[in-house]
Amino acid sequence: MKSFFNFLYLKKSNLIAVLFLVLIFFLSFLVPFLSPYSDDIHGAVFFENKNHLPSISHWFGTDSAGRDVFTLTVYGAMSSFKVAFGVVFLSVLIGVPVGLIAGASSGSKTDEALMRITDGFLAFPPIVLPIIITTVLGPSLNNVIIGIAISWFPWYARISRSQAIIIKSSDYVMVSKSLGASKFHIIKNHIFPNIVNSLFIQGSIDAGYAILTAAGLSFIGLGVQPPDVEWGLLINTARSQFLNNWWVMFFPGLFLVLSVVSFNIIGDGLREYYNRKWDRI
Amino acid sequence: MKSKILTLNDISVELNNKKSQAKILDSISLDIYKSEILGLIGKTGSGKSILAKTIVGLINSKDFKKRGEILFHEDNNLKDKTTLRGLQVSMIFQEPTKSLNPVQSVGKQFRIILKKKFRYNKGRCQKMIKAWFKKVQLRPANSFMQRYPHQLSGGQMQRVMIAIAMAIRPKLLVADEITTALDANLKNEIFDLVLSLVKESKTSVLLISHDLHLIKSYCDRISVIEKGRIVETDKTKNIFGNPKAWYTKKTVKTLFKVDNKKALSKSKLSEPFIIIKNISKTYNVFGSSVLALKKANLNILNKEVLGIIGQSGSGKSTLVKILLQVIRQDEGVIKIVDGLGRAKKHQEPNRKFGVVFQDSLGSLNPKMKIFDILAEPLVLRGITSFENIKQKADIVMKQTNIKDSFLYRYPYELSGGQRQRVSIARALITEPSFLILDEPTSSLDIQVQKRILRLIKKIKEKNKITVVLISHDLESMIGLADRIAVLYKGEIVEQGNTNEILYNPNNQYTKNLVSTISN
Repeated sequence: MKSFFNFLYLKKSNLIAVLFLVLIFFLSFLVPFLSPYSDDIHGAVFFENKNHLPSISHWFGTDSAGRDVFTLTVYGAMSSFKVAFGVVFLSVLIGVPVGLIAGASSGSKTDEALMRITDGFLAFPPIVLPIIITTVLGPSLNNVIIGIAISWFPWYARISRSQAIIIKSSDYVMVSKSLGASKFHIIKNHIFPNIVNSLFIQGSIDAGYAILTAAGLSFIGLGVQPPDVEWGLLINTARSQFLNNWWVMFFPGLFLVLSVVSFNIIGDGLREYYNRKWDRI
Repeated sequence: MKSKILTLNDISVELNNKKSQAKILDSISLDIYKSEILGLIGKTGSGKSILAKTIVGLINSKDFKKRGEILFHEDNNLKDKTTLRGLQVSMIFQEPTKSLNPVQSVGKQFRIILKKKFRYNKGRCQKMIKAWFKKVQLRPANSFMQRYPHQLSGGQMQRVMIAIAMAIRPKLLVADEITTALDANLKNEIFDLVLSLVKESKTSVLLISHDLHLIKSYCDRISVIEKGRIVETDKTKNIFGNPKAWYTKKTVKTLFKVDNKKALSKSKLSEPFIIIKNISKTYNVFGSSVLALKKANLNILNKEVLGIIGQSGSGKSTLVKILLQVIRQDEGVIKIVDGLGRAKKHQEPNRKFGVVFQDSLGSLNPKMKIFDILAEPLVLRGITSFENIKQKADIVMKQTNIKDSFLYRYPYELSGGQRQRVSIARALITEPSFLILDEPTSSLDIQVQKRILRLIKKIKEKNKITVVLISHDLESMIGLADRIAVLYKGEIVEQGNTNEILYNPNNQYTKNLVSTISN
C-alpha cells in the first residue's frame, strides 16, 4: 500500500491517470442506477429525442435512436475494463508459466519446444489471430478476450523466459541450488517474485492496447454485439453520421483515447518508479 | 606549478527529500591539475562515489540538491554535460556488471563510443578495439568483441570498461574503485597502462579506491574524505608519512602489513577432506570453446583454510560452482572423504556445504527480507517452524554481529559489509562442515575487509570447519590461510603451505604476485 502511494506521489500524471480510470470504473457500475436514461443501455429507443446536441439534460447529446450518449459512453467503460483485465489476466495466466518453465530449463528440449510453439503464435500479425479466433468462436465479448489473450500470451512468455534466464544465473539462485533446491522452489521463491514488476509494467501498457484492439474488433463487427454497449461499437454505429452529429462518435472516442493514454501513463510511471527504486540500491 | 584542469568550488550535495535533509557532500573544494593522479580515499558511505558522479554530472536532480560550482578549465562550455561526458571526461564505475549494456556485445558498445568521439568508420573502430583489448589482455580480441557482458567474468568486464574509458583519450579520467575485481599483477599492469596514458596525453586521473597500496604507489596527491567532507589533501608522501587529520591517521594505519610471524605458522594438517582429480571444464561461447579449468588437481585438507588465488578469468568461479555441483565438470572426479577415511564421489549438491559469494548485493534475493534469506537453507532441509528458525537465526546472527532489527529489512537497506555478514550467516545456519568463500571481501573497503576477515577467522576457530578462501588478493590470505593454491589459466600451477608460497615460490606467475605485494 505504501509503495502504491509512493507511486502516485512520484508524478502528477500518475495520480491523474489512476483517478481517471478509478472514476470511470465506478461510474460504469453506478450509471444504471444513477442515470435517468438507464433504459438506454438495454436498447430502448426514443426517436422523439434523436440527435440532440450536448445540453444540460443530455451532457453528451443523444444519438440517432434518441439514446443518451453520456449514459452509453460511461456504461461502455465496463466492457472495456472487462477486456483490459481479462486479456492481461489470461495472457499472464498462460504466458508466465510457459516462460518460467522454459527459462528455468533454458537450453533443454522443453525450452526449445515451448519457445517454438510460442513463436508459432508470434508469427501472426497481432490483429489477425484475434480476427480468426473470434470468427471461429463467434463474435462476443468473451471470445474477443480469448482471441486477444491467445495472440498476446507469447509476449508474457518471452518476458518471463528472458528474466528467468538472467535471475537463474544470479548468485542467490546459485546458493539455493547448492543447498539442493528444486526447480519449483527456485521459480516460486526467486524467479517469480523478481519478475512481478516487469509484468505489472507490461500488463498496464497492454491493458490500454487491449481496449483499443477490442474496440477495433467491435468496429468491424467481430466484437460486442448490440444491444450490448462498447466504445468500438458506439463509434462504428455513429460513423455514418459523424459529419452531422459529431458528438455521438466523439465522446466514446475521447473516452477510448483517454483510457488507453491513462493505462500507458501508469505503465510508464511504474517503469520509472521501479527504476528509481533500483537506482537507489 | 601545473595548470588546473578541474576546480570544485564549495560543492554541497543534499538528499532532495522532504523527510530528511541528509548532507552527502559538505562544502567540498578541490583542484585537479593537468597530468596528475589525485587519489580519493574514505570509507564506504563517505560520499566518494557521489562526488565522482557530481563531477561528471550524473547525479539525479530529482533525488539530490546540488550547490557550488564545477569549473572545467579545458572547455568552459560546461553547461552541456553530454558533450563533456565521453569526450573530455571519462568515468569508470565501481560495478562493471551495471555499467555495460547486457543486450549488446561489448565490441558494439565500444564501437558506439569510438564512433561518437572520433567519427571513425566500422573497420577502423574494429582495429582500434582489437588493439585496446590486446592492451588490457583480453585475448583473443576477436572472440571478446563478440561476447555479451554475461559471458565475461567480473575482471574481464572491468578491463573492457577500462579500455573503453581510456580509448577516447579523455582529459580527465574519473576511476571509481576500478580494480576491485583484478588481481595484483593485472592491477599493476592496468595502472602502468593508465600511467603511460597520463604521460602521453596529459590526462588527469581522479582515482577513488579503498586499496591503499594502489593509491600509495600511483597517486601524486591524495584527498581524504570523511562523512562528505574533505578532511585532508596533501602530497602522497605527506599523507602516508605525516598524516595530520585524525581520520587519515586511522586509515593509513590499517594498511596491511605482511605479518611474518603469522605467515610462518606451519600447517600440521594432513588428512584430505576433498580430493579434486583432473577436473576440466570447457564453455561454449559462439561456437568456440573456452577452457575454464584444465585438469585441475587439488586436495583440500580436513579443517584447514585453503586459499585459492588466481587472476580474473583463471577459473576460480568455475571451480566454486563445480565444488558446489551446481554445474558439472566435463572430466575428472571430486571425492569427499568421511570421518572413517572412506572416499565417496561428490555428484549432487551437498547441504553440508556453505558458500559466500563476492557480490553481497547479487547473492541476496532483493525481494526477500533478511529473515527469509536466513530461513531458506533451513526450509530446504524441512525445518519450517518459526521458533526453530528464529532460534538458529539468533545463534548465527550473534556469531556474525547482525542486529536483530535487520531481520525485517531488505538487502538494499543494508551496507555492503552488513550484507556480507548476512551472506556468511546464511552459509553458517545449516552448521556446514565445509565453507567456500568466493572473494568475500573484494567489494568492501579496507576497514570492513579487516572486520570480515577477523570474523571468518573467529568462525573457523570456533566451528572447526574446513574453509576454502578464494581471492585475487594474496594479502588478504596472509594470516588466514594455512595453505595456498595458485590457479593460473585454468590450471593449479602451485600449491603449498602459505609461507612456502610466500618465501619460496616456484612458478613465475606466483613469483610476480608475491613480488607485487612485497613491494
